[in-house]
Amino acid sequence: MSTFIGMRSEVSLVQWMSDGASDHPGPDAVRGFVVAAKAGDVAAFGYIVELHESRVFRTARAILGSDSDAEDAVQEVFVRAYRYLARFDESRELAPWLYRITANVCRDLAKNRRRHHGVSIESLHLASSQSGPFESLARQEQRELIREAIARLPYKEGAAITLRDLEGLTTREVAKALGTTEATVRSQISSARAKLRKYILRIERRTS
Amino acid sequence: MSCPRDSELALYAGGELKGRRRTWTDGHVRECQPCAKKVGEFHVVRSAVASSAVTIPAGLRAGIRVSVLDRIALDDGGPASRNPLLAGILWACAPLALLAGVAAVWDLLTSEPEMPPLRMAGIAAEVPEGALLLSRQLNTVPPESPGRADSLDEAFGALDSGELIFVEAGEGPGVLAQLRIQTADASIEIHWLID
Ligand SMILES: [Zn+2]
Repeated sequence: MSTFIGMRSEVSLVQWMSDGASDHPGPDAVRGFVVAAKAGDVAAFGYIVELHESRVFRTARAILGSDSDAEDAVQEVFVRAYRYLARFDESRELAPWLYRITANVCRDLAKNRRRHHGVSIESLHLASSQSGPFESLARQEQRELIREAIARLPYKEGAAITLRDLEGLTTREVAKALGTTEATVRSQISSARAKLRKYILRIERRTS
Repeated sequence: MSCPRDSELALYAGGELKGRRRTWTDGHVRECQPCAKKVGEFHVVRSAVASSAVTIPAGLRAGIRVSVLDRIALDDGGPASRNPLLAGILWACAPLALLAGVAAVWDLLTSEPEMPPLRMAGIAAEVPEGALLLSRQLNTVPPESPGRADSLDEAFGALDSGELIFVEAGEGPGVLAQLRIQTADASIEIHWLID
């Protein structure tokens, strides 16, 4: 009954089943998906999307600041990834390449978005309930405030801090994703952290 | 000895300072209370950023993939263009993920002109604790048992932990089977395509 003869995604299937609840196949399985997708296997590409859409969404959501923009970004990232997949060297890791595409897509979307809703982090309005020591705020409220603030950073700073402090990439990996140097990335994340710190202090000062 | 600039302390807090700059800042921060306070504030910033991540809404996941695959199908520039059969499968896959287009899928597949003879294959998966079956679907059935499709399509059912789910598929070009399970912390998708 269960004869798996001639299936394209055999590697991934075995991986999936042996992992139980895990939704992360190993690097070899991912490489298998890439090879299959390059050969035109759309189901294999579907796996690739499934495996990476969470982190692409998370990154785009942080940089762009809204679910709907992030959704648009995720779609565009994977459409571009598929289009350029033939150029991707499957001996390399897929995630850094996808981060790079994500950064490019977010940059394009951010241009449009900011043209329409350009409010800088410095002039971000704080509701009256958002006051007192930052750490005393409810966790959900902290998160909302920081999300809003990151999305109001200049694109490059927002992208750099998201990749570094939210996604946990090294400065070298961030530099690769953003197509820049490590020195530039350090300057961007330093500037972003300084702005976020001032923003948090501004929240705290509202009571005094 | 003058205090480091804020930009320097911001990097120090993130571990991006190296070598002598790091060693010097280490020493300074131990001695200088205002700088130690700022470093603490940068740590708060970093952890606030780290914990601000938004997870992808469950409802979006399937929708995103469907849209991506739809757009790929329309895109002549990608690898899919080399294989017209796969484009057909792709169109079948999209309504599957929407969990609503079973009839449409069925129409698509039955209208596929040159389907070679099918053999049987299958898949079994053990259900993790607290799992919810999102869908169990096939986009084709063996022509010799045309009633099978009804029994192979289920959606949004509660599952017993440890239950084995079987999906049987006619094996042949163009068969795509899909099993989607949701647990508290993972979404598992098993689907496979037969050459
Ligand atoms: Zn000092």
